[in-house]
Amino acid sequence: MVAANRADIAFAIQTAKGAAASVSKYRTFVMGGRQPGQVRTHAPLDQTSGTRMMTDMYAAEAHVEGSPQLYVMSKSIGALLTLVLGTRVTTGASDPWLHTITPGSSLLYATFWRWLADLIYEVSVDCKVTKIVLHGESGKPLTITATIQGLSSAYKTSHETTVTVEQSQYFMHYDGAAALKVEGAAVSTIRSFDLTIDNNGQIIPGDSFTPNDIAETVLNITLATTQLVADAAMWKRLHYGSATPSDTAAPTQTPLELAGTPAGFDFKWTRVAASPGPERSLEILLPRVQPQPFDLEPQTQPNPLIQTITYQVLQPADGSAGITALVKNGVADASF
Amino acid sequence: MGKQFQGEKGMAIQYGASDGSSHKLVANDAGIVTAKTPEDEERLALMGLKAIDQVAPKATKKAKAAQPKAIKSVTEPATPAVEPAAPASEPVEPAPQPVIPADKEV
Repeated sequence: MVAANRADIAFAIQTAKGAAASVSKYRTFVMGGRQPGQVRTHAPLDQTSGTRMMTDMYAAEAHVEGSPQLYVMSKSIGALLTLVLGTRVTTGASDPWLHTITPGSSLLYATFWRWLADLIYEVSVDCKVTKIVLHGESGKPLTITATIQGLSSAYKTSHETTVTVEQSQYFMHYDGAAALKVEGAAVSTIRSFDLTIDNNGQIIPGDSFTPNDIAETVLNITLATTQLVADAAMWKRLHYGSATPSDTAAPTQTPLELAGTPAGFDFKWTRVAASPGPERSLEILLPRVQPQPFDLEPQTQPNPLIQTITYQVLQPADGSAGITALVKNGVADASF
Repeated sequence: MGKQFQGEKGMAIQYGASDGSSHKLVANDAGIVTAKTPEDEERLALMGLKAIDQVAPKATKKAKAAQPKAIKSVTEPATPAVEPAAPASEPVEPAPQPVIPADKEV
């Protein structure tokens, strides 16, 4: 018998470490990647034997890992960004609610459920979303790949279906038309991007078979954009400190930092506008960014000049959030 | 009671606390968010919410009763509010002078 390609993941934010959520609040199908579930390590007993053969193996540890790839939809994207950044402020009296999501010192714990073709049911407790990659490219839906690390899993005998599968309001790259702004100006030539938010999660072992904790370490955020080369202003600013350097200008010793109003990047995708509403949108603000060194290279293919620039996101000097995600959806605080 | 911050009505805040718990704070109808822990205070301040000057916890009932007058005098300068302004600036002291009837004061 052939197992059909049926799978989903469900999740809910926990109130505390060790307090598993009893039911899910979000559920989505997966595009690919590994569903969150048990990962275990077996190792050989390194010792001599009478026959040169390995005598035995031992089970070293088991923890939870997963990196499912999902389409970006209005409900789950708010929860996933909250999990990877750590702080959420919800405002609004009715649909749409605005969730302002910013980095916190500690991440929230979540419970994840896995269902695979009525073959495997698993629940994973005390998980953190330690990394996400938000990807967009021309003509395609936005996707998110979430890296999940967790402490322990348990087998279940049934599918967690408390909440219905979210399968509407898929954000498209073109939902950001004229709203992908660099230094305050819309850049229509951006054909793809990858926003990576990485907490560099570390699995912390303890005295048990499962880990003691998942630690978030340095928060590294980068944004890579690929676009047509309209001019070489960015290259000139990066290398010579001016969009119009003078003849014989010397290399600049100052890293280029994007300016503008708003400063840096302001990317917004609107799936449902305020009219007819209720609004469904996603906005990412990166106020302090520096492009990493890059060059413009000619291509042998019959293509125009294309450049991919990776920007390093930095902590603003005034202590404000280095990244702010604004999600407008139909999820009230009580249902979050 | 913890330190209070001015938010807005309906505002809800959730963040991952250092003890591994999910702290959730909800503003009241007046938009006031009350911190429950020092970490809450730190987080709310980082969010840019402004702390509200608190009434001293040891203030007497009389002093508290006098407070609305003091607030009124500040918010509505058109009224003759000069006299009760003193208790507002010194709420810590139970100083009963503003609420004691004038005929008993001498």
